[in-house]
Amino acid sequence: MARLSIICIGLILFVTVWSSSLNIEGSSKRVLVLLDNLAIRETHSFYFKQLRDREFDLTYKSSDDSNLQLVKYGEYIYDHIILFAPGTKEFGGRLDAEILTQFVDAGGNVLVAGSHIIGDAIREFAGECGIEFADDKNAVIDHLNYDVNDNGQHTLIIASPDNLLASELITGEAKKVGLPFLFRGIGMSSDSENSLLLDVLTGSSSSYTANPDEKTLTEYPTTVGKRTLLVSVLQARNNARVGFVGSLDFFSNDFFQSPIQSNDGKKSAKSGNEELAIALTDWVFKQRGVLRARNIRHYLKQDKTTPSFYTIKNDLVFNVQFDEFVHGKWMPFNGTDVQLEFVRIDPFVRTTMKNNGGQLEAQFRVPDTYGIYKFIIDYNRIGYTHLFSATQVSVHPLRHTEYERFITSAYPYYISSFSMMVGAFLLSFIVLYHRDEMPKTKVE
Amino acid sequence: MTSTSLMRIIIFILPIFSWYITSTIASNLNIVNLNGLKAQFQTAIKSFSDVASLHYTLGGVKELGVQLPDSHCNDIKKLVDKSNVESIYHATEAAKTLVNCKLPAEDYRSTLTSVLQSDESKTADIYYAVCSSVNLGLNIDESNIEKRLNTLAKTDDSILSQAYGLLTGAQLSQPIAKYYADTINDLVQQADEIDGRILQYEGGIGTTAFIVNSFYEVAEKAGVSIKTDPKQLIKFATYFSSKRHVATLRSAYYLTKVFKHLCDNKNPVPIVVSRISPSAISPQNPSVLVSITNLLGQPVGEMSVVAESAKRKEDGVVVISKQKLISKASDFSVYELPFYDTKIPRGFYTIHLTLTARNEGKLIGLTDNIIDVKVTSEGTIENAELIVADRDHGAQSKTYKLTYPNAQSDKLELDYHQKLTVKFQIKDKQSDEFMPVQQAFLRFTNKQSKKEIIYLAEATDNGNSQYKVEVDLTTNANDFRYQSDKYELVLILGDSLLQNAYEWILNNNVHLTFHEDSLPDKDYKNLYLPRQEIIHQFREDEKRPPNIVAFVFSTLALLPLLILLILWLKLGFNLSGLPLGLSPLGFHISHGAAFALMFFYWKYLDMFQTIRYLALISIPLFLFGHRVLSTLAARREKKA
Repeated sequence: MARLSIICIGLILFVTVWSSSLNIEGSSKRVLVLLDNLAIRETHSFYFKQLRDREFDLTYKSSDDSNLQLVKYGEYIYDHIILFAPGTKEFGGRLDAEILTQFVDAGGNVLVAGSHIIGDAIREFAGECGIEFADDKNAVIDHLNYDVNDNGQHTLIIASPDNLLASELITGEAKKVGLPFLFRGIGMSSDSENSLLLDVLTGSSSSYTANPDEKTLTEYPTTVGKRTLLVSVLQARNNARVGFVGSLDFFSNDFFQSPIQSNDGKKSAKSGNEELAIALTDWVFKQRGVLRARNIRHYLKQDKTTPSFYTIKNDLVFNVQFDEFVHGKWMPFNGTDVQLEFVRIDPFVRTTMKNNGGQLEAQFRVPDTYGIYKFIIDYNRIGYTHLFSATQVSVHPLRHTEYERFITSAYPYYISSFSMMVGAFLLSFIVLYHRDEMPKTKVE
Repeated sequence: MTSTSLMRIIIFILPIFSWYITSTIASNLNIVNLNGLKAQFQTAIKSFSDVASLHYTLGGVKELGVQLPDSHCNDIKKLVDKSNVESIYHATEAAKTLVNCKLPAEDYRSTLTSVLQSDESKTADIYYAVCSSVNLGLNIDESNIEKRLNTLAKTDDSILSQAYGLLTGAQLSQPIAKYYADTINDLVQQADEIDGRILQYEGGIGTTAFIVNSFYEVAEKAGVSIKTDPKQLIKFATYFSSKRHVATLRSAYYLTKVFKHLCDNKNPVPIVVSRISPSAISPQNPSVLVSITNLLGQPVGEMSVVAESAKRKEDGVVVISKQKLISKASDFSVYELPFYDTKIPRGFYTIHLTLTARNEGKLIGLTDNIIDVKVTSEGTIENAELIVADRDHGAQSKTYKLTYPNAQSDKLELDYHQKLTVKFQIKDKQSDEFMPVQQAFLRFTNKQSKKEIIYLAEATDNGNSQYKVEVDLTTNANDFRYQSDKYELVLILGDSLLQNAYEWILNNNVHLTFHEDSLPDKDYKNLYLPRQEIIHQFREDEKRPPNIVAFVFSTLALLPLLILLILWLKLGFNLSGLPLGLSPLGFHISHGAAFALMFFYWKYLDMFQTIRYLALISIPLFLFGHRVLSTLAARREKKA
């Protein structure tokens, strides 16, 4: 008996280890910051200060710290990870690409910054996400758009906001403000089969990724033109988010504060790095673009009751409340492009829902095909978490009493049957009481 | 693990580690970002939340040479906590920066004496109390404090605690300060050296600046100079000057103080040698301008500057040796080295500078200064031609000569039988040699979808570096995804040693025609778009005849009943057989009710209700019917 209970406890512990998952919205803000060396804390202090102002609970660790662990007593002890450790070949402690992938599978968010050199662990993790970094010592080069502070190799490039993803949720005001970005680091290419990746910032059409020390290119560069990814993000199917930025310097105090002067003399007093870095972090760490649906209700339009099943050709109303997580608070969602589908294997009805202060409503008539249907909301927009909700209802055919009764074309039949009844009633008198022998007697 | 494999790992990891460190730290000292510090203090002035930030801001601003109005005195009095020694310290220090701000000494006396007498006090508390007392003009018992510090030094030997000890010593009399000043070198030895270039203490910029500042304070009081290796001072200075931006006011304050000390002529002054001309040396910008200043960017007097050597990075060829730089400014802060010369080939160069001060000062860091420059050349594109040839019959080709920066005006039509070849050469304008470039791309841009297809031009091996790129519209069709469309043809040439990169539109209107149907671009963006709405198509109702037909046939259906009644009237009928009594009445009422029920069935009821009512009606119908029929049958029998 004692042994059995120990096994049971063991099993429960085992299950909790494998089932521990993280909160989907960003209300919990424990961040593990892994750094190549702790000096990065100082060179990137503005960025970290902004995060602390946003009430992120930052834990700085050196990436080769031998006590690194993400899971303690079967629970994840961090919700988000910042990997500012491009030079680390192998992480210390219990952390490697596989554990990072498991972390993302459990719903954790990761922000990765690259550099001229990228360690194998990060390469492997990026590979899992469909991102391939260029080889070590390569850098994004742009001979046509570089900053005057460049060291001569044209690797301190200026990325134009024109090549930025137009999504306010992911990039914040960076596109609207229109400040150029400073970038010094490595280029990435994304797996063209991976539909979950989004290109946030790409190089200009004259940029490419190569080793700046080579005299001539011996082979086709890893990335060329606008396919040179500088910043890209992934939103996994479980809505975990992973951000990849090819440049660690992108987040540095120097780049945040630096004025920009391009090789052709265009000047800008400040770079857009800070705006984009903060907006991107907010998005990756689920402070923006998180949706939830609640209070799903459907009822007959006629009497506002919810039947246990619908009958074909009923008029029904479907109601759902959508909320958006904005900087720590659930606010009513105000998108107007949410669609409701009424699906029996194939969608029979797809209609756009009216938004009334977060309360979404759709009205339609049930199709004249009976069966098991689902109300499906499959809301997948750039920058928002993928929201999928399915509610099952059955649709019955008409009952025998529910068919149409008074059909104009059928009146000859109705009348003939009733006239026959009248006839039969009258005839019963004649048949029973008529006497031929007494012709004088007459009724009526 | 054997020792050799461990060794191998270390050898493998070390270069990466050191590479990373060097990449984050600038090679030379930099001129301090004073404006950044100033801006940081000025933002802080707008509102104060605590007396510490008040102290750091007022102190920092004063160090930068701005005198603030005495109105801040009220802020100090408002924010100070009389029972907290640290708060009193910050308040008195802040008050000291203002011209006329006296704090009432008596208010604080009790707190300060109790801290000085208590055994619980830490070195920091002692320092706060001593410094406050000195600021407020209160008497202190020096020997007692010295004893207390000595006991504390035995229990707490952290660097920070020792630094507080130094600062306290700086507040006491000169012999005590001297005693502490002699320990500076021990503290310097405890700093962590990173990569042989910088020195720092654990705890980062704020702590390091605080500790180094304490060296200067105590040395100043003791009237001695800091006895430590200048190289180590340079390493500290390197660390401080690499911090262009600091996060906290405390760091900013101590950093400002340290910079002031490092630029004070009483102390050894590190020299900052920096290039102020652009890194690219070209005919327009033929010489290297070097500024020689202290950390704050102030001139340090006349000196002779010699370029020991200028080496090409890739092969170590020395192009300049022992060349003296010419002073370009009256305050001897800018020196010029003429560098551009047709004999110096393009490339990246490292210049080693050695400085010799005219008047023997305490300048340090005069040797081993490195300046990086590159010599670029202006290129011209020559012999550019665009050849359209037939795939099968190479001879049937058309050659168009191109001159930069003109684009072809005519539209160019190409189909899958043809191939496009672009050839060109890049010539160095000065040396008249053909030169290789790193980036030589031929780019097609689909004018509609803006998709780019880029081909690499490759140099032929013989010395004249002829570049050639060939695009065969059959074998390369997949790159275009068979999209027959209008394209823009652009040649991009770039190299870090080329003065200007080229983006040359060769032809703005190229029509490509492929032999297969176009494949759509892979674009996952449409996964994120709203989908087409679906409105369900209901099955159409069966077509019914018009109402008039129903009406006519309804009338026709009524006719037989009418005819029956008319005929009956004509023929005549009687009810003479009607027996008197209740039963015929009951029978006919229930008979009629059964038929009426049929009407109600049609109009209102369902089948089950009808059956129930019918069952009820059928009982009297049966009973009365039976009665009537039996009466009639009995009457007939009687007759018979």
